[in-house]
Amino acid sequence: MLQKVVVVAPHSLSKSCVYCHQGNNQGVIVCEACKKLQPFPTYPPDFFELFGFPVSLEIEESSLRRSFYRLSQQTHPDAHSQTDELNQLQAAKWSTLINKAFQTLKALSTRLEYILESNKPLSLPPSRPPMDIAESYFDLQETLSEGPNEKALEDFLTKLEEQQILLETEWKQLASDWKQSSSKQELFPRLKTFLDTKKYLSSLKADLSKRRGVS
Amino acid sequence: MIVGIDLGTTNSLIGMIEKGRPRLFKSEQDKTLVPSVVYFPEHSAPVVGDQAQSKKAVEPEKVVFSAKRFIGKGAKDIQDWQRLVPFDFSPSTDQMVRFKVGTKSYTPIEIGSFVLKHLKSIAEKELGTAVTKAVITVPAYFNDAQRQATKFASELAGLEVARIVNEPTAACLAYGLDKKAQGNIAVFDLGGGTFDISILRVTGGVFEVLATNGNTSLGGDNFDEALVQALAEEIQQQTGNDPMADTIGRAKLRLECEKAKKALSQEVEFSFSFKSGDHSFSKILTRSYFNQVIEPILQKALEPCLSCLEDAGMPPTALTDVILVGGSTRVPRVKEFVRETFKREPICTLDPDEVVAIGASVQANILSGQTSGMLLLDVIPLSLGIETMGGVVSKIIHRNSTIPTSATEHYSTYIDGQVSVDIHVLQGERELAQDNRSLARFQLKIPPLPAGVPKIEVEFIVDANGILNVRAMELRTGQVAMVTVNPSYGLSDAEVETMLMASFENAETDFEKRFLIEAQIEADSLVRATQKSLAQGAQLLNTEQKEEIERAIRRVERSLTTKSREEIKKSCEHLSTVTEKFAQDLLNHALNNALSDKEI
Repeated sequence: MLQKVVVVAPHSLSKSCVYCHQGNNQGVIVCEACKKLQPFPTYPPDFFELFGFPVSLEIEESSLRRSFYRLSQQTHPDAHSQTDELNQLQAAKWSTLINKAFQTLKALSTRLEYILESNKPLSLPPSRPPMDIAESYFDLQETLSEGPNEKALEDFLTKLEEQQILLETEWKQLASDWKQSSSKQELFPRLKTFLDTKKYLSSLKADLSKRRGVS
Repeated sequence: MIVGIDLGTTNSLIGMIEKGRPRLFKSEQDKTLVPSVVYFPEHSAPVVGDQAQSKKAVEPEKVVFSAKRFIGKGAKDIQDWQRLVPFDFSPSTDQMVRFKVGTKSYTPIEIGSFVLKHLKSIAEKELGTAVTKAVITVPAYFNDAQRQATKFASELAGLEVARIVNEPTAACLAYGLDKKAQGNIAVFDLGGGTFDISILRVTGGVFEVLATNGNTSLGGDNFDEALVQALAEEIQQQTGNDPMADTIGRAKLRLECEKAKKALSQEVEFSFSFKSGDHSFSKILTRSYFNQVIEPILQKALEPCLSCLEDAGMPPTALTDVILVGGSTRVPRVKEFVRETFKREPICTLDPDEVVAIGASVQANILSGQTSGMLLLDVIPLSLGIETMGGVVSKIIHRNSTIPTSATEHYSTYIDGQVSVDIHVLQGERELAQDNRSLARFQLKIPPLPAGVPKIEVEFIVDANGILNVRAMELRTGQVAMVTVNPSYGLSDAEVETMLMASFENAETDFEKRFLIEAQIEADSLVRATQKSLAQGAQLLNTEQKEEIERAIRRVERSLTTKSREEIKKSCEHLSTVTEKFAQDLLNHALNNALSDKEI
């Protein structure tokens, strides 16, 4: 019996130069041998691979930036201003991709979202706010609608602070589990919950500071 | 070859990099700083620079300056500005501002092109070759319309724009040329009419702009204006005469105030005197008085500075250096303000008036492939998005994104059976469409489907020049609409065309004029040289030969009065032919003399 296999092609950089066939395990953007800029691929490569990093939750910003500068010096349209139109177009495409990739990987939230999106995990928990703190916030809004209440606000802020600490602990745990795990798929649901909570807490903080600004 | 140009509100400069060193070209007045002032004489071509500047107080109604403040702006944008400048401008029939000079009127773009044309001729005169490509700087906080307008002014002047560069970024490049700047650099740029603040990370030849902010109508002009306002009142009280009542009075008071401002940057006191009608007014202005007058204006720079630091994600203490750019940073109170805001001593080792032009030249050098290892990663200053239901802006590319870049968002319809959607492209940070600048509007046809069913993909693509392209596509049918965002500063396509045609026509006559002048000069020096030789070597010629040469000289002289370049050229060639043998004889004679001298 045959089983149909769906291959989700990992979009990756070409491992050899299309012009002179010189190989490079890390993938070629500008060939080291013939110095030619490679044609922009139909399916853009994974952001992590582009920068030469393994898919990781934590990234050291300074090494990411070093990589970004190196790639920019190779692909930025300014470095190709004396070449033909086609090559300039390729440079613009590469450079655009590199800029977007850097912006995405630089910030924690967008980086984690990218990991979730690009790996298309099979099952993920539905998005919902952490129940405990969401209920407290609901109560707080009710209390405050009856009139200003400093104490209720203070109590809620303390609770929010606690949640924030819990979140940080979970982050450290998650990051370390990720490094050790051989099956990353299992960690995706936790990653999703972490990301949802993080977003919810920061939107709460924004709400509160707006509210305080008003009063 | 590409030149670098700083097209400033008050002054403009042009330069290039020669053997790794910056070189700024000098005007006839032997100055690198060319006032961005245009004087329109009654019957001849516009005059730019120092000569135009000197007409400010004499014939203010024929002089236009600070045009940069109005470039890319519609009449609506500048209602409150009339009082800032003494000349007349009218919104006229279209959306665009026009400066009225006599019976004619000019757009800020045309004024800009006159200045650029003048700069171009300065460089051409010094280099002896045609200059056709330039890097031009604009305030970082210029919006798309202002950039497009600047680009258009440049095309009108016969200069292809190799790149539009942000002024503070250019300044940082200038400091980077000698590796004078490394680390996290803030550039505080207060010019005549605009204010910019940018924060860059400079490492190993890469200049990454982290954040930029500013105010396109804040500058030294506002200092002058504040002083004018303060003093006009006092003058009226003391003399009973309103100095602002007529154009000349307004222009004179403004010039005096400008003088006071400059003096108070050096001295702590300035003895101000002004004649208003038959009365004269005088007052000792102290620096602290001046500081008080400008303080409310200076405070407008604080918010952009703080936002910029926040966007760059760093406190002032994380900065390595703060660079001062723009003539207005010479004001001691401005320096003090920078010191207070960024908690450190600012540096200004390069001339703040020249640093932007030097930076433009550096970028020009990079683009001509001369500088390897230096790279500028610039950002877009303002967010880009489209209008969605309820007049709300959906941002597609956020401000401070490194360019080139692109982004895609998906939308759907709101009403059943909609057959087209309006794509309204906007620029700015405000939440409501009406508060942002409208860049373009176009329609995408879609098949009639229930609300929410069509899938509309909108892609924004921004190139390395910061110019936006928008593409919209209905994914079910593959229906595509695309626009390159065109300048929407109120010019119709027909007007753009007319202006371009006019500039080409003028370019031809301009060229013709230049060639004629060159030919005249050449002919003149040829005649002089021949006459000198005739005087020296008359004994070498017989009467007939002598007469032939004299006839040829007269022919050249006659040709000079015809103003025909062809005729001048022909007569000069003829003169050269008939003197050929004589020149040879003269040379031999001189050689013989020299040899016999030696023998003795």
